[in-house]
Amino acid sequence: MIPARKSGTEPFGWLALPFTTGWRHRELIRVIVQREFAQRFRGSALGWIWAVIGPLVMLSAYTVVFTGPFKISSSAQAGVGHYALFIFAALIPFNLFNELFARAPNLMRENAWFLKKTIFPSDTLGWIALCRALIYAGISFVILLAFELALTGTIPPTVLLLPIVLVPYCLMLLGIVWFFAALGSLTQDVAHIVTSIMPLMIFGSPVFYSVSDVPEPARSFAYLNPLACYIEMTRDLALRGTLPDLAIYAAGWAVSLVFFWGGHAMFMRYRSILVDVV
Amino acid sequence: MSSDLMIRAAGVGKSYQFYTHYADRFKQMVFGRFKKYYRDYWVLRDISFEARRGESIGIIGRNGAGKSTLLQIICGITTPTYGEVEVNGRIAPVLSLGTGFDTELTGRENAIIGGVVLGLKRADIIKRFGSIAEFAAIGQFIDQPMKLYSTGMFMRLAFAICAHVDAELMIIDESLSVGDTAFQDKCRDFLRNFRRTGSILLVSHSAAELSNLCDRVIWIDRGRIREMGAPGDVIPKYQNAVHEEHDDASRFLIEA
Repeated sequence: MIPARKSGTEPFGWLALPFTTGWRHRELIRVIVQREFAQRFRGSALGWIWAVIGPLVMLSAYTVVFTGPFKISSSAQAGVGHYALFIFAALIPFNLFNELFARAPNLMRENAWFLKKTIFPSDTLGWIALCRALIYAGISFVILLAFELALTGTIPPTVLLLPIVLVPYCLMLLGIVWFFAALGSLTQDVAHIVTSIMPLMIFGSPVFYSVSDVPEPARSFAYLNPLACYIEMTRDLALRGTLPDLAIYAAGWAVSLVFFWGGHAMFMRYRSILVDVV
Repeated sequence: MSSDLMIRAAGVGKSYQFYTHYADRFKQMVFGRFKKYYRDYWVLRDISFEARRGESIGIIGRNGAGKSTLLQIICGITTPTYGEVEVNGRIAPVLSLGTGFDTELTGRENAIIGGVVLGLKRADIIKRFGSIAEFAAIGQFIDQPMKLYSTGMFMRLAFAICAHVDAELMIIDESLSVGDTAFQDKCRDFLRNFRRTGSILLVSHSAAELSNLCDRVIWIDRGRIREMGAPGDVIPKYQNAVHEEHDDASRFLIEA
């Protein structure tokens, strides 16, 4: 574990660094994620089934509501099949972001007992939080596909391409987690700011609408929110059965890598003082 | 990098920053290069020593002298404000009570996590678990949440884990004294054996323990090395000094 303290001496070591720390500590990440799950469902009769029930209830409710009382016919639905699917496909990446963003400012403080007492590579906390959130997203996604099959009768084959969107999205999320984890340990205010702006995020992101619904002068700005790109790309692949726009995909990658490296660099820069502060 | 050296500390200093106002922390981050917005508390200053592979070192000093901070720096848990530390080998830290245990989890689960944190594979730890449980000797408690443990049980498990991770350097922070005599004997036997291949860094207030287990003793006084040498020389000097000094608060002054 000691070589971890000396970071890459090769000229582009910093590019690989955030990946290699995650890989080197994969065993640790796995054990801790397993522990968190075991702990979460311990002492409940249904155990992990609760993780399935949550999203199942939510999607069922959407389906009932948008089939009956609020039948919506908007351009957004073109090729989507059902408005409930349309929302739910957006909620999966949105909630992934939401959970990580909400948790990030307190990440170091929650694990302070661990960071202060053992030789713990603190940047793996980001990977751990991501893996945990990804598992819930995965469960929701399976439910989405099941409903899609039930409601429309088919699942577009482009679903198989989803990993190519997921990878850059996860890198972006990790960068955000590292950035806010570092900032949040320095002051508690960050956690409050995050909780205050979070409810706004859902309206600023195309969850209940589609970017194509946004009137033209504003539409180009809608993509300034990187979440919007990823939400629309998820819908393309999982519901519409179309390939994402290549320019948007490339821009998404670029933004993600900037977040990823920037967030990690920021975290590592302040890492040494963070342990003393929390 | 000489592989013969286990620990090399060169001019290590550590200060904690105290801020009077909350906002000063931000001012420091932004304008730090122009002005200082905090007061320093120097926990350690100019600590330099080396330990060869297989050499065991004891650290002695009064409360607040900086012993635990030094161990934390050597473990890499916290970084020095100035100076350099180099450790060549796998560390197993038995740091003061509650060695990074999650008290909601059972001893078994904590042992697995603890072992992986220290660099073992999960499968290896599971393989060695029988031996860990036998060393800890806490019976059925191994499968109970650790919030039900006594202080002694905590320490037993912590030591048992650290004894099974193929460490080359064991760092022990005053925790031996928590165990009962039977367990202390067991630990001492283990450490005596361990010394043949690895190094020990031991913080203790017990003269007997230090002279039994260490080749050299470092006496830290108010963050500086006051004496370093054979246990037989340093420990009596320290004990004399403690008898003469008053036990007042002057040693915990935060400088302006």
